[in-house]
Amino acid sequence: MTGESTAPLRFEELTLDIDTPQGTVHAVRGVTLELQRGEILAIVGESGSGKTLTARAALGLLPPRTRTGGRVLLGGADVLQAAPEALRSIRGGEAAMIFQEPSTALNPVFPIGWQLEEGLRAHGVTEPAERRRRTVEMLRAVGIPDPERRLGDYPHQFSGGQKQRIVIAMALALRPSVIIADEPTTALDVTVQAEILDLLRECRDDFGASIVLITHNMGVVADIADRVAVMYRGELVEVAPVDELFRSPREAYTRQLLAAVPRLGGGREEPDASPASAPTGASDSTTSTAVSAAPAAPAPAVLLDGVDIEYRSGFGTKPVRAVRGVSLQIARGEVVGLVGESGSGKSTIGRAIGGLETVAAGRLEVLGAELRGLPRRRLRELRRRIGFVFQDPAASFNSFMTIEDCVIEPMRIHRVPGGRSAHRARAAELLDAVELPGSYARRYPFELSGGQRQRVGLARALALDPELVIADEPTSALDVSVQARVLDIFTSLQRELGFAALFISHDLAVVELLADRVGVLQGGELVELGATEQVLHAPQHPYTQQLIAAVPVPDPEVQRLRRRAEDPGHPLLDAEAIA
Amino acid sequence: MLRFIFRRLLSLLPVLFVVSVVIFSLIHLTPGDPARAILGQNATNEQVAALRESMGLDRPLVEQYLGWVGGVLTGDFGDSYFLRKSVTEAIGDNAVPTIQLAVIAIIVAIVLSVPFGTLAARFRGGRLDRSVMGFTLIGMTVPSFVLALALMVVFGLMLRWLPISGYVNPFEDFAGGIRTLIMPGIALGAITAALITRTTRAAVLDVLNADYIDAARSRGVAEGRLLFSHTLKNASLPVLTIIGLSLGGLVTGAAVTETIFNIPGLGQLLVTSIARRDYPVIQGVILFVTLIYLLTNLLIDLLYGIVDPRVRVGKA
Amino acid sequence: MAPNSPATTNTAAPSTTVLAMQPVAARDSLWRRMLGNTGLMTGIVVVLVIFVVSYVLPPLLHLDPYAVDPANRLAPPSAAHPFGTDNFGRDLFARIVSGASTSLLVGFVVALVSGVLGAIIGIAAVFNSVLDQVLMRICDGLMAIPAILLAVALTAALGPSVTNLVIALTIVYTPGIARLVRSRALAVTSETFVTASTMQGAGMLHLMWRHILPNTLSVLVVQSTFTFAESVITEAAMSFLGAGVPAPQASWGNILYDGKSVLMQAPQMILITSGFLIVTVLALNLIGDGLRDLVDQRSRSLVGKPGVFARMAAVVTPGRFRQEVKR
Repeated sequence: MTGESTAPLRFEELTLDIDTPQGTVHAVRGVTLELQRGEILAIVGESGSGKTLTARAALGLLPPRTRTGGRVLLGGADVLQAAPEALRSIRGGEAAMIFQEPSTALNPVFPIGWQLEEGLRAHGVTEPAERRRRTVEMLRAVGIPDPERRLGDYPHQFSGGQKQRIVIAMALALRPSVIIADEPTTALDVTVQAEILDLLRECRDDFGASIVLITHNMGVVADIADRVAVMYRGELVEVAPVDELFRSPREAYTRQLLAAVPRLGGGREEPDASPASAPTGASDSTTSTAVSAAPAAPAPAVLLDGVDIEYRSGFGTKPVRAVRGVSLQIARGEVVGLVGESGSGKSTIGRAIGGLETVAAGRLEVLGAELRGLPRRRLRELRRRIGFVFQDPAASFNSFMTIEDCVIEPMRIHRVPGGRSAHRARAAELLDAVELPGSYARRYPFELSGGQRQRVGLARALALDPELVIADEPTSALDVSVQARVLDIFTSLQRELGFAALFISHDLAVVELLADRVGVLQGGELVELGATEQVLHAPQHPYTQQLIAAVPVPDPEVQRLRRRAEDPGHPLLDAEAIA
Repeated sequence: MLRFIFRRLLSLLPVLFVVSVVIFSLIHLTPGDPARAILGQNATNEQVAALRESMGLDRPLVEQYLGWVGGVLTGDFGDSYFLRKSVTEAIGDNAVPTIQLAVIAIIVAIVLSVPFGTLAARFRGGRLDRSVMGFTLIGMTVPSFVLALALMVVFGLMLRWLPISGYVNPFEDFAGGIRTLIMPGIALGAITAALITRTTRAAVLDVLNADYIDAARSRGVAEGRLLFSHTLKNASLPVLTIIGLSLGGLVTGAAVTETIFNIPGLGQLLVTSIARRDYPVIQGVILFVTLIYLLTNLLIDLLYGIVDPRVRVGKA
Repeated sequence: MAPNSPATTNTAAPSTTVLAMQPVAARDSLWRRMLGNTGLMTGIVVVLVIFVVSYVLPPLLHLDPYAVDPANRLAPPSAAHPFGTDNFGRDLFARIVSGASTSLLVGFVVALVSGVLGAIIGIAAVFNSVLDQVLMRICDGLMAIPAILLAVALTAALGPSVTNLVIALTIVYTPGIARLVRSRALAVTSETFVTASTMQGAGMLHLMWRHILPNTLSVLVVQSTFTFAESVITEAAMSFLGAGVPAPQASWGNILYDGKSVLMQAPQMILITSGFLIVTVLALNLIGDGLRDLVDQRSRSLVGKPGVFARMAAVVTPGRFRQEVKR
């Protein structure tokens, strides 16, 4: 027994070494950290920092072939040395866990009531009626409407936010003193995220749990954490109260991390002479008709007029309308951001512009050509002038092709003259433009990091000097510092080459960094469109306002003020509704 | 649910069409004349022509096909050239032993494979896992007729524990029936057992890697309960599929096993019919077996719906 | 701070930390990875040996599988007849060796042809939905008929000969491969890199050749290997039933067919022949399993200690393989 400390959870010199065929990975190195009673401690860091492993060690959930060192004291007992029986009673009883992806944290073939009861059964609640009563109680506490009736429902019958609520209910079931929340909102939309964060706060306030929150989102940290621990490559860099950390970070790495976070309202860093350098008058126009600012310009890069797009999931089923009556123009050289939550139809619009979706109604012109009824051959010709950047850099490359082959592919497809040597020279040029060393040409995609791959994606998109680039969530799979780098490169290349761009993202702060104008999509409809500054700072539509309000600002003081300003009694289940 | 069954039944129609065409064309692929083949080289041309007419071989192909399908739909598979009974009767007489054999084989397979596959997955990489995987490799390698012969030599001829041939209906004499069927059943079930073991192991491993198992573990659910209550239901989906698919292999193997053990089943009927070119019987048996196979797999599809709520409640 | 023993309660959570921090593995050459896979190498060596023996030995030793010696029927193994003789007094060793070439030839040709046909059908199906419907219904129909029954019926209809046997087995095994290739190709088509290529204006042929085929090749090769093994078994089973390779010609199934009736007098006929059959099929299955491990990204990291073949290679060429052995 440690005696001196009453902290519910304490890591002492925790070391985790994991053996892999390639050698031993020192995943966590000598982390000493204490969770105080009733606090929310955020562990932040980029992917690979060891934050998740550290937190999971609190429950003894370790990957295979892990060697441990140090101690993890949970309520005074060392989890790492605990016998299996003791470990079982700790898990769920003393400490519980909330997972990142609620849809995979619930077993799809059992009703949620059964799954909730499992935790109680494992901890000796043998009376079925008692189990049921407590299950219903927990579901009600986390805001599942009509819990008695829904006990027998299966996970797929709930929405993403509701599933996360159920996962939280499971964690709370035995009133553990410690809750480990591993990226609990990463998989959710911002409006849902705000609700889940409120619920976590209630877990602390009403149930007296101390919470370890693992996240990479500095906005979430500012919103909810009391103290913050920063990790980098397995080591603890800095621990500080949240205000102090944001106000005056001690370590260089923390400063760097904070600087990389895009802030909503941070605005664009305009170069000195923006109007002159921009190829069209796009960047100085704040009116929505950017076309009029450049009267001599040819047809706009993209023109959508009352576009409907329908999906048919199977033969004979009712078509689902993914996009309804969207009108939008992108002028030559203009960057238009498209934001919206999942299912808003933003990616569908991007795909339609690339000719992957057929338009059910309305007019869709790309670079002056009407896409409806465009012959296949003409479409392929048109695609030569459009570049595409995809969300998942891992999946967007054929693993049988080298980086060079990937960049050259568009040139081969369109039989760009000059032959192999000219193609390779161009590829080298492009890799240089995205700041990748020439030696990478011979590597395979899986030998690159996510950020590097995304830069290759950009190089590939620009291979044929496109007039239009469509970027679909290009940075959402990346860490913030990597994201900052990719966005930088994107912006400078856009200025240099002057292509028009449609930038699709769920992250308002990212869109603000580079878009001239922003469109906001909700349920397939374009609810607001205007100059970036105007939309994000003086939103007109209530949905835009709600969206912006839901994004936590990565500044604890500001976020606190915003939270106070909110209606304290606002209904949690607003957007979730009853399914 | 009813709509689901109806849709599944509907989707069988094109498959059955293809099957019927393939089976029907078997006769017409034959180089030479079936009538001549039946009557032998000494028959006169008139005799052959008469037989052709009585068999309907002189009619256009489409007409013959439609006539055959029409008959099949009303349960009339035609008459055997040799057996002096209708194909339907022949199938009826021979189906029972084959079905009993298949049931025993599948029971042997499931009883052996599911526990061992599960345990192998649980103790992955351990000694048990290695030996189970080794056995499955042997099980998949040793052809069923070799295994049958080996069993016959050891238990039938050397130890004299079990009869080496013949068939007793277990519904009439249970002990005797089992004694005659157990060796062929094991010989037949071995490959299937190996296959199901491997599938079970892979499926359980997959499920054990899932987040929800970690989630349950993080709530303190015991490892044993984790394996049997939380994992097996999910893992049963691919296992069910492979059981359905391996039924085809069972019937195939039955042809060989029945011949070795001299069991009057469909397999033996088919082999003898092929030897004497009794086309109506060949067609009938293959069609009947295929139909049984398709219906069992339909049944398994329905079971799928019971195990997995997403199939049941999801988009129907 | 002495490190504790490896944790007993393992979870399989994929850790990004491990992925991010593990030293980048030197890209092992295919050859080296194959050497590391003992099962695969064993299989390849065994199959190669049988192949070479079955083609090299008969002309070398003047083996004649058809030379009948009625006086010397069912003789036990002796110096003149290392495996004894069969019920016509033919040398069993000659027959098994000659049967090996028949069995392997049938298996190999069936695997090759049904692999190629399956790939063409499977990939073509992905690109045209009408074609897809038609081809897949036909495949479903053919697959619904149990394999040996169909093969036996087909050879009966076509007439008994090795060529017809190969045709029948190809018809039986192509649908399965086609279905597998199709489902793999379908999965590949929905991958982002195919969309990326389409968005660059790639045509159908480009997509098929550059993206779909390379990514389905691995599944195809593995499945073809298993088809090879299965064809060898099926050929043996059919010949055993008397419906496969026609009589005087030697194949393992034929020898077993002959041996069945003299099980008690000359058990070596069945014993030795099925031994060869089992070893061959086992070797082929090992190759299939090994290739699958080689291809499967997930299991790649599980290839742990270097096996006997890697160690042998390390002895022969110490410089190149030292690192691998040290791990």
